Amino acid sequence: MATQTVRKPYVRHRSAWWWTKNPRYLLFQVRELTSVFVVAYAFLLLWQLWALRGGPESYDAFLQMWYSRPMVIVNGIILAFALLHSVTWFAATTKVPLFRIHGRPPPVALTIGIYVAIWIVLSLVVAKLLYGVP
Amino acid sequence: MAGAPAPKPASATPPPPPRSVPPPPPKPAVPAPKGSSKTIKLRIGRYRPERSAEPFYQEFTIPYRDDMVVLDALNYIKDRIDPTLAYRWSCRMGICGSCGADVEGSPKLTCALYLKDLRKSPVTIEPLANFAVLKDLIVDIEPFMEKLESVNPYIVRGDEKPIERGEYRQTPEELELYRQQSLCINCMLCYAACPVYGHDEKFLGPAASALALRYEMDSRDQGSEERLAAVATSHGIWQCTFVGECSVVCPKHVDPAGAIQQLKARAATRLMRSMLLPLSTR
Repeated sequence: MATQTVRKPYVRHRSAWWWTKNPRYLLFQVRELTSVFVVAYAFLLLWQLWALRGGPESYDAFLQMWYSRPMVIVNGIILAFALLHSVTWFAATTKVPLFRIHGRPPPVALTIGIYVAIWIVLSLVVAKLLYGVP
Repeated sequence: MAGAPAPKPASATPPPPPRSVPPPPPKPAVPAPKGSSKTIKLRIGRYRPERSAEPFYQEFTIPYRDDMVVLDALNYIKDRIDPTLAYRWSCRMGICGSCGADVEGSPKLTCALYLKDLRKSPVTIEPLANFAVLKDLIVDIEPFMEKLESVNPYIVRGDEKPIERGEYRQTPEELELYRQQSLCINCMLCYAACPVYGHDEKFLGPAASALALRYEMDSRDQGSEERLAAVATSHGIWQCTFVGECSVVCPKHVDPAGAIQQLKARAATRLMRSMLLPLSTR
């Protein structure tokens, strides 16, 4: 005689604190959070343009605020998160091999090195254009 | 090649006891494995839908030797302490992909994790995260199987040649292009480790994506158009936020996170070609 099976699948609910259980989950969440700081910097740049539009006095006031200790700290924090985003992004991009060596993807360190080298060169070009250094 | 995990039937359920859960504490483990002198305490997630609506934990203290893995401990408990404990297993050698479970919150093949390497006491063993639980450590694999089927996981030919003309041949270099993704054993550890899948069960997920890339990279395949269309959707590869934990927990080093990024690159290239070269063959 055939028996009937009645399944009662139990669906577990994930804790809102799932990202604290694994350091790699935490790093992922921090990487996602970096976008907030990048957006914040975009707003600061818009603020700078708005001040520039207001004339020399307006821009001087902006620069005074810009070089104040709190703003330097804020910019330092934004820079740290931007660097974290850049480094983790370069690490992520190694998952897509740009080329192959003897049919195999290149070593991860080589790919990251190429990206970082391009990044540094472009940064130096921008620095040269903006500030005339190095 | 990827094959479906071979579920082993759960143990026969004994007649319901007169008492409700939690069940009575287990009897002492006897006899011990030959040559064992140490003991380990395991805290196992149980779910017995015929008796209770909620899962619970049950602790077992068992003797063990250094050469015993977590699956050996589960077998010891089932053989000698509590025959109602239900879990899947088959090959005991990391091939069948059946025996996955969360051990101390991390998805593992229980046949490949030695008891001597576990530090905490008790050691918590739970069903794989992100899946519905059917009984004890057994989870519902149906949604996973449907995802595998959705990526056209077979060689598609537009110009099928007659069998008498022989097989479609490949060079070792062509084989190497997809060999890594073909090593998947469908153990589902990557799904248990994926926070995106934990958030949305509609997400195609790591293993199915790696399987799609396996056929994408196969020189014999001509079904790229349909396959990419199947995976490059809002619940497909584009939902992946690249946590990367799937590749960390993969016991066969398939690197599903990398597979998804490669699929994204292929899908984006295909889209750009269709926009810039509308008359091309892509």
